[in-house]
This record gives sequence, C-alpha cells and structure tokens, in this order.
Amino acid sequence: MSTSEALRESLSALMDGEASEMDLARVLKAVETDPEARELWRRMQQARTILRREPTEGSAVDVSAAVQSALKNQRRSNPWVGLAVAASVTLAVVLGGQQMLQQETGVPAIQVPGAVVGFQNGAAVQASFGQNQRAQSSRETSLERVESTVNPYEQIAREQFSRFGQIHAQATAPLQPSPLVPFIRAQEPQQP
Amino acid sequence: MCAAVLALCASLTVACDLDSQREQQLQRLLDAHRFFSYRGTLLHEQNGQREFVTVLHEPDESVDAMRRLNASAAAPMIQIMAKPSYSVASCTLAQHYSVDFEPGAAVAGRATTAVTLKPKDVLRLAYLMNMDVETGLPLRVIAFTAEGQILERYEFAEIKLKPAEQDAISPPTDPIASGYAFASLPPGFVLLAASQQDGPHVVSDGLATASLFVEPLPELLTPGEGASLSGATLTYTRGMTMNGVGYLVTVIGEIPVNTARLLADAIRPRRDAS
Repeated sequence: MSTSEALRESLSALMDGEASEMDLARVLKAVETDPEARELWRRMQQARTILRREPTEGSAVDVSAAVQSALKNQRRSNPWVGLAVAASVTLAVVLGGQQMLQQETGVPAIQVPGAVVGFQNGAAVQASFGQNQRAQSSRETSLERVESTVNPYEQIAREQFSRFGQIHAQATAPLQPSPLVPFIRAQEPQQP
Repeated sequence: MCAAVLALCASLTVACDLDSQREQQLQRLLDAHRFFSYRGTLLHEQNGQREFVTVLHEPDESVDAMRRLNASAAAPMIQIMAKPSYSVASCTLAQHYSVDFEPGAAVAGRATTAVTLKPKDVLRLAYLMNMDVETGLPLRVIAFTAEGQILERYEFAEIKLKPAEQDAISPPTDPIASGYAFASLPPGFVLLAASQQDGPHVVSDGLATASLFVEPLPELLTPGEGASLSGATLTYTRGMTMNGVGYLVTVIGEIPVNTARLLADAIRPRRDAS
C-alpha cells in the first residue's frame, strides 16, 4: 500500500468518524507537511457537516420550536435559556456567524505550523479583526445558506451554548492565564 | 486517573521543548494570576462586538468578580464562583505549542513581552499574549485559528496590581466513573473531570479546554451535526445513535471543529469503552 493510499484511507476513516489513533497520527503528520492534505483537512471542516445534513419534515422553524421544548423538558434548566431568540432571527444570526464552516481569506496573521512565520504584530491585528465577511464563491455561499436553513443542529448548538456555557466556563477557568475571561465569554453582550 | 491531571501540572520525564529561560518565562505567564491581585477594565471583542468589563481578581481572598459596563446603566459587580486553579507546567504546553517571545507593544500603559503560542498541529487554536514585564500577567490576549483568523480579543485598558499570597492549587481528583468514557483522546488532551453522572466530561491540553455533554436525543431529531461559533468558543452538536439508543452529544470548547468532532467520535457508553 502506497503512502498516499494509506493516507486516503485514514482520511476516509476520519470522515466516517472511525479513525484509529494511528489514522489520526498519520493525517496530522501529513497535514503539517503536505499542502494538499492540509487543504483536504480544511474542506473536511465543511464537508462532513454538509454531507450529514438530514432533510427535515416541515419548516425549520417548526422543528426548532419542538426541539426547543423537548430540550427544556430535559432535567437541566438554565436561567439563560430565555436568551434564545426566535428561531428565524437565530438562523439569520447563525448564518452570519458561521465562520467555522467557511474559509476566511483575510490577511493571515499567523502562518500554519511548518510554514515560514509571517507574523506581523499590530498591523495584522488591525487588518484581520472585524472581517467576519467571507470571500467565498457565490455558489458555495448560496449552497451553505440553503443547507443552513434546514439544519436544526446549528440552532441547537446556539441553545446548548446558552444552557451550558457557564458550566464550560467553570471547567475552563482553572486552566486559563486569565480566569475571568471564560465567564465574560459565556454570555454574549446585549444587542444595542 | 490522577496521572492524567498530573500530566498537565508536573514536568514530564520527556525533555522539555523550551530552554530553561523560556520555560521560566512561560511559567510566569501561566502562574501570574495566582500570585497577583488585580482590578482593571478590559475590552473584550468577539463576533464583531465589543464590551468593556471591570474585573476584580483577588486569589488570596478567593474573590473573582466582574461588571459588564455596557450591559446596563447600573450593572452590578457579579461575583464569580471560580474554582481554584490548576498549575499547568509550561513544558507540557510546549509539547503541543511552539512558543516565541519578543518585545511587545505597551498595553494599559505597561511594558509587555509578546508571546506567541502556535499550535504544532491543526487540533488547537493559536494565541498571542502580551505579558506584563513586571508581573507576567497577560494584559492582552488574541485567539486565532491556525489560518490566522482572529476569533477573540481582550485587552486591559487600565489595571492596578499588587502581589497576593499564593492561592490554593486545586488538588488533582480522580474523575468519577460516569456512564460514558472516551475510547481515545486527541494527542495532548487529557481527561480532567467526569464529576457527576450527567455532568460534562472535561478535556484539556493545558490551554485548550473542552466540555462534552451527553443527553438523550429528542425524538423529533434525526441524526446530524452542526455548530455555532461565539468568539473563540465553539459549540458543536451531534445527534447520533449507538446500539439503537439516540444521543445528543454537545462539545463546547476553544478548539477547532475537527477536534470537537474527534471528541464526539470517541465518546462511548462505558461498557464499550474498555
């Protein structure tokens, strides 16, 4: 078995959620040195989410409301559940904030591991921050938006953050050089 | 299980990737919040929004409090029930992050050293921290993706500091056996807590921390996955079935989405995870 064939198998196992530790080690090593593997890894961030989206019956809003009430009936209640805004507004916000599903093509402030470091201190900070808009092909963008409106898991993720964000802040604070920051993060600032 | 936490908190027998001077300097940064009290105003930026927050940290009094200055006109100071810190070893961090120091810009009117923590693999975020030359406290911290996209930034506008007595370090405790366990963990991540039957499993590499929650899958939901990003904090959810039972797995952490996926891939009902 050639190296690239073994790598492809490991990537495939990762995509299926069945990677062994060896598969993962192989992929991580390749991602560091091989630009093609790195690109595949990046696309994995999008591909699995798109592939796994199941079509849902009825409108996203209906499903979300039912799911919301089902989650509320779970044992843990959280005073911040009330912060979850109406489903349609949430979806719009989610679309705007879905940075992780799209590639930022702004000025990179830090280069990837293994590459030549081109870190520019103040200038890069000014250039990159606030660029929440993605330079994305319009076809991919519109596909993303169509898919997003029928995937309840994105809204569920936002609601789970409202429910569990404080608990996560408690868990992470003992490991942070600034122990208060996780608590500042856990509640999003009020909209003006 | 104790060894897992100690792996974060003690130097390992593996040779340290940092020379002695950088090891000490990074350790100063990691420990400064235990040795100094401070009160100041910081600017926190994420999701294109910004918020000023007054913070108070007094480790010898076990006091942590904050006031959100943009929340409302008379927003109160809120006490945070923060647990005592772990003391993470700089050598542990250096296993998975490349660490560099260079002179930094002034922050809050104080001289700083700019510390970059670049992940050695794609499973973590990168950080730029401006540490106070005098105390080691991080006065400005920026979290990035590996590709250089800024996720979150906070910076002190002003700060008053004074030495504190050393605070109590949290003793490592064995995670209590829960109904679930990880079949494996991504490299560098150790299990810190599975403290209650339905509490989160918490994993960390000493800097990047994630909490994983397992709940029954609501009946209306078909399996799938999705995520939401708030600043540096990712919330990843996945509905899945294992042995015919539906689960909703949620991973919240300052980690890239593929790391969250790996954690969700690895969680199993305990009888499977031997």
